[in-house]
Amino acid sequence: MNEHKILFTGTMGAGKTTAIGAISEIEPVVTDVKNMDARVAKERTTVGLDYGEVTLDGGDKLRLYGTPGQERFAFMWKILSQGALGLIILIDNSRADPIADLNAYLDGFADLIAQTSFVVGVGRTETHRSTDLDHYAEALATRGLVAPVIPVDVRERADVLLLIDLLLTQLESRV
Amino acid sequence: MKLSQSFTTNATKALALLAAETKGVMTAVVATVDGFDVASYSDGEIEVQKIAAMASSMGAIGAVVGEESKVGACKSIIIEAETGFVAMVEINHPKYALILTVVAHRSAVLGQLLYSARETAAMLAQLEA
Repeated sequence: MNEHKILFTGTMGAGKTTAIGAISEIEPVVTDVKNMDARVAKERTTVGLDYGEVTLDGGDKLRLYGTPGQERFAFMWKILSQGALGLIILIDNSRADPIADLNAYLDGFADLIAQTSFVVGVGRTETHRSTDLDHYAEALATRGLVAPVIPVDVRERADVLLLIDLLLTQLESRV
Repeated sequence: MKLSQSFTTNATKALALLAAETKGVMTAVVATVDGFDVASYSDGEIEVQKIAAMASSMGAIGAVVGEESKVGACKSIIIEAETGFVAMVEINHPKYALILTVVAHRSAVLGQLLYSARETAAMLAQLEA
């Protein structure tokens, strides 16, 4: 039985805390505080880390870590990247420029991405169609990266487990 | 996120006073719980924006560690480093959740530093925001 660390990152409000909460079999550790940034309509925001755990069918245990989304917490990105097996990037398609958002995380996690695999989950694709999944794939291709990009509703356990499944498949195909 | 100009002015004065009256203080920053600096005193070598974001993370992590360890709410965090100390103290402001961070040289007396930081935090909590 193995234990692995999986990291969730992505836009503030994309649902990192929700995604971990949707699949964790323990009560998640949450470090959210009142959001005082008027530019983002959100009641609370993660400033430290999220933590949850899930056991896969094969018996392997995953430790799930979530990062803060905002770039001023990039020092936490570095800390949380240490020892991570793979990265899940969550993007909110309702934002003004979700491709720029994706690029910010590809930059911020470049070291981790170079060493391991990642997947991209895009939320709110049903209600916001101006950017489609092909745009994301193109943005990755421009940087010479290949990764699965799928639409997700992070409140749905099955969607989050699918992201993890895809990530693990990516990792296996690297070996 | 905007606190009043008078808060920033008065808080900046309070931090300068803290630095003047407490041995070893190099930097003091008032930050919101979500990591924005609102007032600071600095000798210029330390980036206060970074300190503000880190105080936010440390405060939130301190809070869950206190809870999970069943020792209650986190009141302060002290980092004893090679050449100095960093003390983070919560500011119980009625309107805004804020954190005071004080960075001091090793020549500071830790007990005095903590006492002064708490006194300053209590004073900042009274300021109109």
